[in-house]
Amino acid sequence: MAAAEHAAAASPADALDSYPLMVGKQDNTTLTGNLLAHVWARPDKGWLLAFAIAMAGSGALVLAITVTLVEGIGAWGNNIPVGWAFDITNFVWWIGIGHAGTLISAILFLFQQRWRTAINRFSEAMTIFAVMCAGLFPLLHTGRPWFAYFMFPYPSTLEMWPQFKSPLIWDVFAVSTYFTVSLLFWYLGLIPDLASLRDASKSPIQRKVYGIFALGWRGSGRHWHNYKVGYLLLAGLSTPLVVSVHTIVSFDFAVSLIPGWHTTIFPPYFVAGAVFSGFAMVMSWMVPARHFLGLKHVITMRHLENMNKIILATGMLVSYGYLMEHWIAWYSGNQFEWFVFFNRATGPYRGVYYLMLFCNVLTPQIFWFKWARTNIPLMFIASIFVNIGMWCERFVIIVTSLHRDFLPAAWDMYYPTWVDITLFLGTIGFFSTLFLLFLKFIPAVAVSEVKELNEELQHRPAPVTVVTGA
Amino acid sequence: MPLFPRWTNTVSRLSGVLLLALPAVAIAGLMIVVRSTWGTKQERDIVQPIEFDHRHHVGDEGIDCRYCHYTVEKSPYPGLPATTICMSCHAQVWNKSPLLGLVREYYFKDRPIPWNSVHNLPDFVYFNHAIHVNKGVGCVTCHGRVDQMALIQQQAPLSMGWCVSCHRNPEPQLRPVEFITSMTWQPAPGVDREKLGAQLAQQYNVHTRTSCDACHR
Amino acid sequence: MTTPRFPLPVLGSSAPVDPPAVELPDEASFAPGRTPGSEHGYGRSYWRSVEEQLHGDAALPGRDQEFPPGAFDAPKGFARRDFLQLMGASVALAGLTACTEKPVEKILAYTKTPEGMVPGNPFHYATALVQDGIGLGVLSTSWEGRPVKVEGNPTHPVSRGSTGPQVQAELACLYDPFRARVLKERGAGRSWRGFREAMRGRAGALEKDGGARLRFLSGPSSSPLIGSLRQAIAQRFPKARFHAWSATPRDSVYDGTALAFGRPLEPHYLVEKADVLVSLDADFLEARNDTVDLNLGFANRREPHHPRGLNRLYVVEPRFSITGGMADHRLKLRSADMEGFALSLAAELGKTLPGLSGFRSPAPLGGEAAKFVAAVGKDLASKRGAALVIPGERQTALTHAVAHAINAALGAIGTTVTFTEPAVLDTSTGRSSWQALVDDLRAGKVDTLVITAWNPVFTAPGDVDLPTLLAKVPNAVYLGLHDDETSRVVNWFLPAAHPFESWGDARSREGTVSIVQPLIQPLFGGISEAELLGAFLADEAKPYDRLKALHAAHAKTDFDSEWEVWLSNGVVPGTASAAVTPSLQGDRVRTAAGQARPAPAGLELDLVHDYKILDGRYSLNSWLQELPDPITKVTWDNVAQVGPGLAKKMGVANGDLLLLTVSGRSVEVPAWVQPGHSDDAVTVSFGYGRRQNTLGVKDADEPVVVGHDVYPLRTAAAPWFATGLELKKTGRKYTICTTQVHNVTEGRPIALMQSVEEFEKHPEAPDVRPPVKLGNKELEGSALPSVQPAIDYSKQQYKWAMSVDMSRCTGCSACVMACQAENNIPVVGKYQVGRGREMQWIRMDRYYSGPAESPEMVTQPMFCQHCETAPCEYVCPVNATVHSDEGLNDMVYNRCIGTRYCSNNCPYKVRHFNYLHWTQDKTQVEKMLMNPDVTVRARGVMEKCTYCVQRIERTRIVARIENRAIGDGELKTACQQVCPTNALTFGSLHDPKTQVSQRHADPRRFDVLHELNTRPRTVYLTKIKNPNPELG
Repeated sequence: MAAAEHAAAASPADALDSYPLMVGKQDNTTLTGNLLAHVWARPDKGWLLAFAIAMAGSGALVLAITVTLVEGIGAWGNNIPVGWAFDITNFVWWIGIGHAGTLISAILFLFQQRWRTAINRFSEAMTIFAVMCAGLFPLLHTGRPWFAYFMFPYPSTLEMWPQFKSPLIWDVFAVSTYFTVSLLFWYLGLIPDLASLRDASKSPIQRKVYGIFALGWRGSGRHWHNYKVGYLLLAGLSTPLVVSVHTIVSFDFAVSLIPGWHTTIFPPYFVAGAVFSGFAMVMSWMVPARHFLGLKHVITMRHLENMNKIILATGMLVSYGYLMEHWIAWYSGNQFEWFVFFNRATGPYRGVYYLMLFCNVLTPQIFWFKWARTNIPLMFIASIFVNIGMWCERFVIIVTSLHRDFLPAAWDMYYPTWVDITLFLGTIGFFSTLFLLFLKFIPAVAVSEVKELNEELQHRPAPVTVVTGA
Repeated sequence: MPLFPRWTNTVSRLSGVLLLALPAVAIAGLMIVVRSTWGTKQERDIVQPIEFDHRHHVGDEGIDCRYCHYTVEKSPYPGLPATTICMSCHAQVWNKSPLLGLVREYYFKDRPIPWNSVHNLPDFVYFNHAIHVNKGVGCVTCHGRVDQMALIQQQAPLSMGWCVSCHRNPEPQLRPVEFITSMTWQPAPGVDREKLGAQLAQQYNVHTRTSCDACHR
Repeated sequence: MTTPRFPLPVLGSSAPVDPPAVELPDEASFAPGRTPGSEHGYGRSYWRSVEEQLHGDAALPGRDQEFPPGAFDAPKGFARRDFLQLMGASVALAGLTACTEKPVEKILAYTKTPEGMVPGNPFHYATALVQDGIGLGVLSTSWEGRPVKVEGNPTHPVSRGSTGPQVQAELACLYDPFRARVLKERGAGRSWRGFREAMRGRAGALEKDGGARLRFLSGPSSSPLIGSLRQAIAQRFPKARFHAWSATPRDSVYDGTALAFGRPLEPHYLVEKADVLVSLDADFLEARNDTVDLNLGFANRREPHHPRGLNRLYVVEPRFSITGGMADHRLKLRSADMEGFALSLAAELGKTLPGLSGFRSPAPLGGEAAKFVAAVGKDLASKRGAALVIPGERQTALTHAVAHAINAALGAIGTTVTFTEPAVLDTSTGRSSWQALVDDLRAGKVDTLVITAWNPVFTAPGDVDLPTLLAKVPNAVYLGLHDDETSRVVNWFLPAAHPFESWGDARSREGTVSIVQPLIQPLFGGISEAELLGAFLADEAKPYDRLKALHAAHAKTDFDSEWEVWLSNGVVPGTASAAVTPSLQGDRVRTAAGQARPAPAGLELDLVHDYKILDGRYSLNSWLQELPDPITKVTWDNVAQVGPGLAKKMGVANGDLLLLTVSGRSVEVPAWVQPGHSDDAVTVSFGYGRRQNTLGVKDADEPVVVGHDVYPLRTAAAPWFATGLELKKTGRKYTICTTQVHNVTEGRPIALMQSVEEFEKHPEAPDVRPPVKLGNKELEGSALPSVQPAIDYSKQQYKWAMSVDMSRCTGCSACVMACQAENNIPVVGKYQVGRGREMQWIRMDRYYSGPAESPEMVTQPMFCQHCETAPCEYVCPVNATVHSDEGLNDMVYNRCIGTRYCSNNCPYKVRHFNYLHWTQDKTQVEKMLMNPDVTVRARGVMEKCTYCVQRIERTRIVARIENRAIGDGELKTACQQVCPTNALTFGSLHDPKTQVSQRHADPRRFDVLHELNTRPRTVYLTKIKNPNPELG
């Protein structure tokens, strides 16, 4: 198939791009047709199989949650000193994955990166599902989740308020805001497509259902105007969130005084890591999706390559973060600080540490080479590695810092239990379930925007200034 | 022919409003409930195994609270009267009354009378009667006019906010210790309660604390 | 209708007639002690005797008083404790507490309030507890008739307020629902009355031949009451014999004095007077009933500003003991070589001291030992009159005799060691007495054997098959707390009453008599030893009457009034044994020494009593089982301690199952590589390896075997050590769960130790203390910036603080136990400990320094430091841990949602999290153990040291009611109260005269991890060592 890609590349639509943003001659009818095709198509065996597996995963999640609630956190491997382990690791990991969505849909939108149009719907959906998975853990990890409402500031008869100095409170607000805005953003973008689904649906029920969600969109000039304004506003609104959310998540650690956590570099380094893992996750889903849903003509090698470039860039940022951490730990001359990093590389958890380095530092380096950036199987595998690596990073930060901190007499080891592992895999199953449903019932590509892009491409070649960024 | 009839527009707008309104109303409602007398279990008649009437004993007979609640000045617990205390009078008085049959029953069977608790603080709250009574907080201040209650009711909300409000500013609640059990004490006419309170606080060296460990251990 | 007239006591008319049965409402079931045996959570319901089973309530008049009123349902007591559990139990319930109606709570008053009882205020009763026959005066805190805390009795000359761990843990034995409840004959339930009938018959028969076939096997005892009973029995049965058996015999002490002075005597070592001490494997710093006072004496001499300066301690021992950890110099030596060492020390001193001329060692000592002896000898000789040699109980009589000879020559007798007649009735509780009985049993000379010693079938040496011998005894009677190995092979088994349930008396090591008074009615209808012995006498007097009659002699004026005083003070004045000044019979010692042969070479097995469960009598005590061993930090197990050298040679690591074989008998024990342990010996503690129900263990409700039984390796002849041990690796692994996995400080300035020279050179000692010194003084009003708002403590009356003198702390762990009892700390069981979820609020950190072959040990009790700028506080999202106006770091359980962020951010890691619902399935009996003044924490909340805030508040309220301030020493935390070495102090910093203020101002003071600007309120004082330059 790679051959086909290069064949397409031979006739670039835009002289300045090595690969076109859209393959072949398209018009609105063809686009509407082939972009909505997968919604109308009956679910094939592959989808059903994948869905079955995903559902099994969700089941496992429910089981693990039940055990946790009935038995208590004791069902996990956590202990003193390691008060946080898989729980918060998963939380940070999922939140991080959520970042690609907003970045692509908001920031790239504001920068008018036209290559975002084909993939934004996709990654926004991912954001929402990832944040849903992430949201589970802060609640589950508390010893008495049924009292979690203590965290919300409300006038209680106790005349007690939450402790606003605590980063956990900041988290509550950051994550919930992030989720709400992302959801609105995603839904707003969906409306025109839902409308076209409504209009194209055969059966009356379908028509009604899509109709309800389309909120009576008729595509009038006024609709489009309001739509554009709203979209722009939300984009502006969610842009700071891309930075803020993971910054605040990183405060959970940076604000504490535990060596290995207490680091000023965390905010930027966490955000970079988040985008890094986010793009990797988009990649891991997009490669198969564009193949099976027949989206190759709108999600072209151009998109893939740009994403790989971003993965490379953020990967370098992350690597720089590692470098700085270690150097400062040594340069500070603080024996506790230095020991933590020494312990990461030589201690009982060094395996995870080296896996992290391999996945996050070495893997992205291949994207220096065009042949790698444009090699689909390779980029798929690389993206998987990055996902693993970023999970390891969070594990290393959380567990290895805690298990050997200040007083050697308090040191201890952490070993996950089956509940820990099931919870983690369970969230992946849950995520996949939602995602597969999304791919089945909602156009995976923002059809209206693609049409718009198509118009642009055919009638008004883009001004040079715009594409240089790509 | 349109997909939806016209009225659905109203529905959609309405649902939009409800989407925001419902949670708001629900939360507000909860907050009202927990503050209501129902939520705080105030002013409820709790039937007791024995028809003991405080109106009679406190009001008519004018028996001092401390005659029965004898440890209130030296123990965290007010001291629930032992059956012997009931019998010390009712051996002679009303010693045939069927009303007291069960009391005698418990007494001779040497079984404690299973009273129903009216003032239930959460079990993680360590309230100490002795210190309050010794520093000039009258019985009536928290328990109300028991001399007017057929069945003892909970008068105060007993919420943490209620406790803390007094701990933040105790003066207005203080009274001379000699009137500690009085149901009707009022400062002498012309005496400003605030001033008196401040002066008593001085005299008794009242020193309320709002640190958590004052009540939670 | 007419109601029946009730004759009323106040009218003083005829005896009360029972009222016609009126159907009481269900609430009557709240009556205390309605169903003594049947407890939810503890299977079937139990009956205590046939009568009870057959006739129910009727047969037992006044049985409602079996439990003192309120024993089961203290007013509000229970609900308080159940509350958090309820919350944790059901998400639904807890989530909806706002909308769900909780059932009306019952409150129960007494029908007749006991005299002087103020419900809600605890009583303190003085009594005594016995360990190996030696009594220790204790105070018990009792709530509405439930003893919930045991502390030392300040008026008791030996205790002075402090105790070891075991004595405090007795409560867990008292409230052990697995205690035996049924008196049995061959497994069938019988009544106490029935037993007495049977015995009366027997006694008649035995009387004919003067009781020649009657034997008693008891544990060591110092009780005058038991003594008098034995005399009475001896009068009735002149030919009856009394034997004593203990798995931890002190025979060599008495045989040694007998050899040295002609008759068995009790030595008393006045360690505070000694400048130089030599311990020949004497573990005199283990806080046991007979050594508590030695701890304080020793600790006082570890403070540089003691008028007579620091003492110097030399320890010669095969293993690494608590005392060894405090030593300035340790010499690893097999027990077998101890005689040789003592003799060569005598010989060394003999060069200068005429009294010791003629002593010579059977074999010359090796290089290191020789050097050691020379140095020690020199040191001792230079400190004549202030030197002391202490021989260990595990060592031979000769070693003791030689030690006494050395002491005599050094002029120690009368100055640093005094002697009295032994307070114990039986000076032989091991070999000789035991052997006599065994011979009689073998010869079938015994018809009736009355066993009151603890579980002899289990503790018997491996070379005696007691079960088969007992099977031959037609009438064997055993009195024990539990249905155990022994009760299964005797034909009469009597459930014993706990010391807290019975009248008795006991003498301390130096003779002072304490009356043992019952604090609670027998929970399971137990019988005391005195009652049992009484069954063999004609008269039916109750132990209480016997006791009063016996002690009437001590009264000076009016017995009854004095008796009351004795009971309330816990000591009978003027009963201490008079000191005797024996004359050394040097020649006898010399001749005995002359026959000493060089010890055979080879690997040695050293058997020691366990630091926690002694000889196994506490093996069912989950508090002690979970207490980390002071040295190894192992919980719920015993281990075979091997030296690092031997371990390397054999390639043994911790947890490798080893096969230990001595003279044909072998057992398997997991290995433990113990730094500082001799490479020529292996040390194992006995008492483990019983199949038992253990409480508080979530993941072991079934009976489980805890540890490994090494009694089979023992012989009556060599109870303590034997050479010729064969060690084999089985190749299998065994899980050992410890509370500390890392044993060195990694060069971090945490637990600081300095030599007295260093200290005196520059008391501020910047070289050992962290670079910057930030005491609270400099930091008042937050000199350094902090996220925490600065609190102005000067506004408050008190400013609570604590100090730990590491120079005094021996690591005995009495404080850990005190904290566990005071604060309702749950037991989590072996496997949860292995997962790092132990709950004890005090973590007794123990670090080694120096080479693994001869390390130095420093112990550092680590608990919440109550930082003024606490890192835990600003990260808690819900304000569940906040600062009090007096500087306490409050932990509010009911506000905690359990994010564990506070623990993560605590640099000391002293917070403990309820990962599971440890307190969920407690039986009624266990619940009686709970301290009603402290919340019982449910699942999912954080907890930690509170400076015993419940004690602060109680004391404060009492003081405020009396319009006075709390005086120094009036308020003690649980840990401080029991500390045998007075290493812990607590008080207010506002008053510069308080002990705690002085220690805070001490030049040795340092704040752990102060560089984090946590400003701890708990500060530490450096450990001072006094090494001998010659051995340097």
